[in-house]
Amino acid sequence: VTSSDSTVPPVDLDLVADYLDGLLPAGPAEVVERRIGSDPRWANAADQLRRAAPAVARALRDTGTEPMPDDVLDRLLSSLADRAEASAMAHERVETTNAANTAHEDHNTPPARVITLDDRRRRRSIWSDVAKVAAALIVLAGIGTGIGVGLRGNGATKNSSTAASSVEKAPQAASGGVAIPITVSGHDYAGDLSAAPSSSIPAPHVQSPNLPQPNPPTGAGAAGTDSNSVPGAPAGLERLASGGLTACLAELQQQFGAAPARADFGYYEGRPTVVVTLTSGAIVAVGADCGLPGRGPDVVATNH
Amino acid sequence: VHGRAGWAIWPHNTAVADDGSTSDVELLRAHVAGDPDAFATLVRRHRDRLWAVALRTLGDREEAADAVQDALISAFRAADRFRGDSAVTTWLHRIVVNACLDRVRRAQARPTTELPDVDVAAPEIDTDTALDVTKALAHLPADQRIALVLVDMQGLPVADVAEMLGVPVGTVKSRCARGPARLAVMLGYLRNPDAPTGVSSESGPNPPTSERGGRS
Repeated sequence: VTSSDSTVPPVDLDLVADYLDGLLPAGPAEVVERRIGSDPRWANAADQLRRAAPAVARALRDTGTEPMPDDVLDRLLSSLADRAEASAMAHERVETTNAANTAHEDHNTPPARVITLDDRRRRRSIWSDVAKVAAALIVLAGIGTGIGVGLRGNGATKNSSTAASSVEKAPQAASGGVAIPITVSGHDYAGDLSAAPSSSIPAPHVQSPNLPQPNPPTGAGAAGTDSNSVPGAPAGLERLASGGLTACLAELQQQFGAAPARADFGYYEGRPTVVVTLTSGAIVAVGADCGLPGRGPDVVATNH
Repeated sequence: VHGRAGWAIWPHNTAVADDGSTSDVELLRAHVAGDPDAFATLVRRHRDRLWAVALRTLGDREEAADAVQDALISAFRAADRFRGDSAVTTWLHRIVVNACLDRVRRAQARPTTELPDVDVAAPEIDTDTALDVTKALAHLPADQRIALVLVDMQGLPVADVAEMLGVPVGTVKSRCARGPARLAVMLGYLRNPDAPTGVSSESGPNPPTSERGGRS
């Protein structure tokens, strides 16, 4: 505010606005009141602001509503529907098995639910959708390029139905990727997925599912090559143990909306499975076909 | 298309009439329970208000569309964690506001046209050049803009907005006092208030005289 009198403070409109709304403490309010009473410029600003307030409020109210354009709504509903559909497919034809209940030692933990083979046959392919995010998740999961082999026993196995070796692959982020721990416990979960390795490990950084950053592995170490194989995996899981887990984890993230936190090669009621703990806390047992085109994540059971 | 075990594929291409007989909470609970239509109904019911919040806050159609989408996907997934401490619409607004704030923060590296300390004598602003409200809002600091959008445009309670933004109630009130003052300048309602005699009725908008009331 220009002023010919440098001793008079310029009009502070914020202060006047606060004063008019009664928001100033007693001391500052008295100061502003004195200035309004003694300085015509302050008085004028306060008067104009007081008179303008209803018009501004009305203008704001009148501008408050804005119909969502049809194309935005369509896009939004379509996006939500994709997730609903993926979730529905993951849980489609879910039933609780007696075996799961009887083997369930912790009654506070939801029982595992099993999807029948018949229903998996009916499951439609979503491979084309998954393919769009799979490349990004290769890096996210760190399977394809980022897991160094560091074997050590984890001693977490209980009630194992096989004598598979217990190993853990140390998480080691690849350049631009994030690794997740992979264990080969050989444990038979027998309906009790709560025995899965804890998900309380540091969660890998999760990129926005809407903003995949395609970065497929190339060259040595890419999915399907020997360099990222998982030794000691149960028979029947060779494909997943030799790089196929990447696409499998992509399927899981797509369907469950949460990133994989760790994976354990073992069994579920005698069937070779990989039990994946997601960052959401969900635990999913997947079969040997997980990640195959048209087979989705091949969910065998989930506690979610 | 319903699954055999009660799970269903959401028929998103089917617009389900909303007769308003089901409350927001009931819709959200139905969604959590697996009702394939419930969340879509909720979205359709509140879409315009949520859209307005995003659009007015971000000032960009595409940014707003992305923010609303991100927010509602989050709400879709987190519906089972809704505790009912606030209204569903407040909860949805909070999620949309957070998505918008994320984008505002990311955009802060961009140069803004935020007003400097308001010079009430700014001679270049009058009715001939006054911005419309939408454009004027974009010139406000983000914190004032969001408060105005939620309180003055959407009519949300100050206390809810304070909780939503994580600031004291008094801060929201102050933002809702200062924001309109700046808007009044940009909209041409304050013309040369630095002059000691006030504004003439011929030279600009003539808003009705009314006592200014504080917010509660």
